Amino acid sequence: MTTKRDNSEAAMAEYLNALLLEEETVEFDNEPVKRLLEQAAPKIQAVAEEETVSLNREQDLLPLVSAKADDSYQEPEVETVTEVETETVDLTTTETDIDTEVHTDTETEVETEVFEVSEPPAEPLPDAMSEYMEQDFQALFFKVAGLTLAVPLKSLGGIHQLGKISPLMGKPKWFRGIMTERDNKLQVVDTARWVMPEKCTPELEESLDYQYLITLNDSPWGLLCEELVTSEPLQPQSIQWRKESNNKRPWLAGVVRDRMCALLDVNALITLLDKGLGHIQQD
Amino acid sequence: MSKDNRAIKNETDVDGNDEVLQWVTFQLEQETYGINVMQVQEVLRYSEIAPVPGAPSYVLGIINLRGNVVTVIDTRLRFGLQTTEVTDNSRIVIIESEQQVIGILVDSVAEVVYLKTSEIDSAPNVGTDESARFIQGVSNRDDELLILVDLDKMLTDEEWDEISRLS
Repeated sequence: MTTKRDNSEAAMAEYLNALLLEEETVEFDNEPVKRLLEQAAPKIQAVAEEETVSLNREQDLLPLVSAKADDSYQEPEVETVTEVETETVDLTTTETDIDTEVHTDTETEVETEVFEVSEPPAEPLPDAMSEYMEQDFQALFFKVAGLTLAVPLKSLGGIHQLGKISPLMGKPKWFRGIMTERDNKLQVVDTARWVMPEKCTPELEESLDYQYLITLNDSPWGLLCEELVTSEPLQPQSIQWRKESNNKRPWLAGVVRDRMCALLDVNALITLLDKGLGHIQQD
Repeated sequence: MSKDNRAIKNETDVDGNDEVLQWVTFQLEQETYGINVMQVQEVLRYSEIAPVPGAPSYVLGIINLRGNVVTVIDTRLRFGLQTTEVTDNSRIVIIESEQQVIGILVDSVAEVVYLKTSEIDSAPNVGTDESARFIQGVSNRDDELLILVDLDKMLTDEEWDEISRLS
């Protein structure tokens, strides 16, 4: 008899494999994912408690969380990457017959006449992921709608407790608005809507309980998250890295095999957000 | 000085680089918006708005302002917000756009604030909707976000023409 957790892991594995693979003609059975989301949405907290967190959450994560009242607060130091000898990693993957869903977002950029300040960068940011492919790095794991995502700590700008978000008219649904914090205007991304818009039913959206905003590098962009799970070191060989040919989801650096969770390519993500693009790039 | 210049340049500080602009702030749905003070003619308490049969949905109706007919825009609808009951705080802001004089109904009017140009940032350029064009910029004000609205872009040229025929 399979347990609920087995089902969850199987569903997550299918979903993440589907994200990584680019075959066009095969079908993706998303039933397990649907079941998982149905289960996960009302029970996110319960599922989270089942997970073994290897590090003390308060000790490890709270220093990263900004303290609003503390003006002397400084960004956390996350330079904890240990240098190791590089080794050849076998990236051969077991390709299964899974299709990637076709997404038809037609979001286009709208020209707005604004003051001449802080124009988004036109060129994609340098690829920091190649560095992570060569040496161990520390990653933060967080949860959104039952989905665990990982992001390299070095690529984080900070973690902020959620404050008031001011929505702006005419923006895509995944853009929640702007959160002000210490003179900074943080641009808030509804992570669930951005990463898996096709799974965002009204019921799921209603169940989302965002608590933190994880800002990306030096950009104003931040991802909403429901729960900070843990931070732990990752080895390059523990990750199924994205194929070079995967241009459809440049934000997906790879999948952390043990945890079966997506590792985000922060710079690619920032570039997409700056362009106002959704999570899937059309060929 | 042309009207355009007046609208852009209210005051210049000592070094002449960082212009100071005045903005009338109003509230809609817990959010604070700002419009250039040079475009505001006056602020009225809510008075009966006479509906106009066949008017576009974004038009609430017309009012008589000292003998002049002024079209009042449903600002909430235009900004994609839910409609709400009129309260004692509701105001009709009479504005002079490039095209004509109109009124906009808002939940309340707050104050006039001074902002340096350097304190104004562009809004994220991720809009897909026409209404994204209304936003001229954003600014921090007492830890609150102030959304600066470009009134001239609140309506398209066709819509300006349409409401000019109502009044």
